[in-house]
Amino acid sequence: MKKLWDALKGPIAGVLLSLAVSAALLAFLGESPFVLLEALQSTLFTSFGLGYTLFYATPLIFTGLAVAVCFHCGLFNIGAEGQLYLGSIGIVIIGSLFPNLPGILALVLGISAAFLFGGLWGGLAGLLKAKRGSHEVIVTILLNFVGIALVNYLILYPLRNRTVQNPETLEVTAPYFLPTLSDAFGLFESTPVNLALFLAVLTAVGAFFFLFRTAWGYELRAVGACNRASEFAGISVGRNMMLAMFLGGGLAGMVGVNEVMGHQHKLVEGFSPQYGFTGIAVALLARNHPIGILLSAVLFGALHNSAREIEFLSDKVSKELSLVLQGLIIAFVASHYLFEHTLKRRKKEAA
Amino acid sequence: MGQEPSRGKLNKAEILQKLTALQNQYGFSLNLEAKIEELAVGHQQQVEILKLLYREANILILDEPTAVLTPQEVDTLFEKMRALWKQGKTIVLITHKLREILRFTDTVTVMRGGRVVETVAAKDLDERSLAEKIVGRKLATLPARHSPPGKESVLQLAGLSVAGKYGKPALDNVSFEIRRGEVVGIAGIEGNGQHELVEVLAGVNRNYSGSAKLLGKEYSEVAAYAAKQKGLSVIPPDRHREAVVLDFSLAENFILGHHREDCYGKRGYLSPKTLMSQADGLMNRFDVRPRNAELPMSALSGGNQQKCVVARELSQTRTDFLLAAHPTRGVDIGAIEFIHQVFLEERDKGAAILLISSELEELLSLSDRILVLYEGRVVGETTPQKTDEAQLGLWMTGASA
Repeated sequence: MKKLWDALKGPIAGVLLSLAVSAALLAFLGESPFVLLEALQSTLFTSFGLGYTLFYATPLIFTGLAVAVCFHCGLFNIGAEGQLYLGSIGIVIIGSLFPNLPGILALVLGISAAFLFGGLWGGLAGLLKAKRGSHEVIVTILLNFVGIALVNYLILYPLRNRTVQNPETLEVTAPYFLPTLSDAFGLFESTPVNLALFLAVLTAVGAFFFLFRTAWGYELRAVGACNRASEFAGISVGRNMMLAMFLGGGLAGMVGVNEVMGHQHKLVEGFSPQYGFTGIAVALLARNHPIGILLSAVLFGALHNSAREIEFLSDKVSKELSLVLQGLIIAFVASHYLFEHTLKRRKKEAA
Repeated sequence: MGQEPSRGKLNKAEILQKLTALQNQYGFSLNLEAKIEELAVGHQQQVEILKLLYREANILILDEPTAVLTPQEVDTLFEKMRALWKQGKTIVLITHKLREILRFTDTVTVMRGGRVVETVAAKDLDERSLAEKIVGRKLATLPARHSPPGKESVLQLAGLSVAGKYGKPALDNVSFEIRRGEVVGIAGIEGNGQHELVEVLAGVNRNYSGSAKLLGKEYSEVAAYAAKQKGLSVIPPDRHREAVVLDFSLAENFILGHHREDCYGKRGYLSPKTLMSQADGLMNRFDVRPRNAELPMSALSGGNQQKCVVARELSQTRTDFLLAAHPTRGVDIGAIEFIHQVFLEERDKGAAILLISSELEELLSLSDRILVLYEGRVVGETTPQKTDEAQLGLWMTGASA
């Protein structure tokens, strides 16, 4: 219990501090600071608001995991944004190739397609890193542009739905639909939160198990913590880097399950409000722990949601407030870690 | 540095003049215009001392000044220090080398666990009594060999060469073999090919020419991982970077390199329970302190970290070949004694051991044969009975055998 509290107290303090600073900011802009509380209250404690919060949290769980798994291997995956587009288009491609599959098979195939397409896109960066030593940060950033452009091309030309004005693909067929929680269980009113949420939670638990309870995860973490010692232990550094980037890309690709299979049933150009980059913040706040990512994804989902809410409630602030809030949280939490780190080092030096 | 004579502009001539005077006074003969990186380590060490003299220090504190020096360089260094002592300077020497203490000091203060244990005159001590004061108990003598080495050859190197950085080979046509139950020591100043030899024999570098065979199998044809399971144990030279993962718990470190073996769980599952119980067993057997397998490796002292490495490498099913590179570097006397004993037990059980060390004393007391590496070549082979530190020191600096 104490361990849990130790892990949580930093992030909680960071969140509270940043809320306080944001409230002050609102007051400065001539808006009542309680607008923020009101918005948070409705996004977390009403069933409609919570539904949307969880709907936004679902992709963030996937992208947070995408960043965290790579981070455990010592790699910084900034390419989740491109990887999630690739995963989403993967579902549309498979869906249009095999439209008439029996239900469960279509679901399995769709989810696998999302994972594989995203995984191969991420794995490409891993391959370049392992074989040619190209820095994964540069490669993943650049592959974002390439990946998104490629997907946009597919949306606009080969897969386009020509009966509508909007740039979007044809719909996948009904066997590929994941039911929303309101259809399946009558929960969260008419919000789009769907069974992909359960998949995300299972994936997080699976990621924890993989990283901390299997020999493969052990190797991956060993490479991340000290790749020279891994070499001496007979662990292949290159192979594990490729594996980590493949898994990271695959996890990011799973965002498509929420968006395409669970919500729109088609892919719309530019659908992601930068889930891939917010995933970095989600992972950072959770210190790359898969279970912590569940919590921090819900928090960031709530922030995203309340920013939209505030736009309704106020005419003085815009939804970009949520970016300010996210920035503050990261700054406070990161400085908390820094503080802890220096404190520990001081203690060590004194000893 | 930190004592520049002028404000603003550096007065180089004045500094040089003062340094030359100091050199003459204390019998140094360094080239003052040379860059530090061009100097041999022994000379770099002298620069350090000259620097202190320039600052007009009267008390010199030297912390392990001889760790990287050859015996000859050590002698020169202590000659210089003796000259300083004669001119009234006070010298505090912190070292783990007992011989240096007995040869060069007047008074010895023994510390253990952060406390002063005793202060005695050096002339009243010999190596054994000093060592016993340091560990605080009687030392066991190393067991004598019961039986001669076996006949079966475990490690065979023939014409092993590894390319170096600047066109010069780092390992040049090295050939030797080690038989069952035999300890072969490698002497040499660091940077003369030991590093490359370790990389080949640990299975990390497969890019070599010539032949290196472990139990008849060529290294380049066996995955490093498989080699580890087939009786290869490695104690790498750089503990923090190569032997352990500092951020991992002790329990996790104990399985590094053996993490895919079935005994930790089925099909790649690592059971925390099994890991903890194995860790507890090893920590008891090898006396690792503190006994908490959940601590990160970085929380342990050097000696205890090394005990963990030794425990991991020698607790596996069986060891045919033990590659031990600097196994007692930065380790306290108690742990050194323990590690040496474990090695000899392994030897008596039939392991072939290659011991690479910069401690000649260690090589002389453990090895059956000693090879000297110089610039990537084996320049001499001898046995501890036929040689001494002075002889080895000469070979290590390139004097022909």
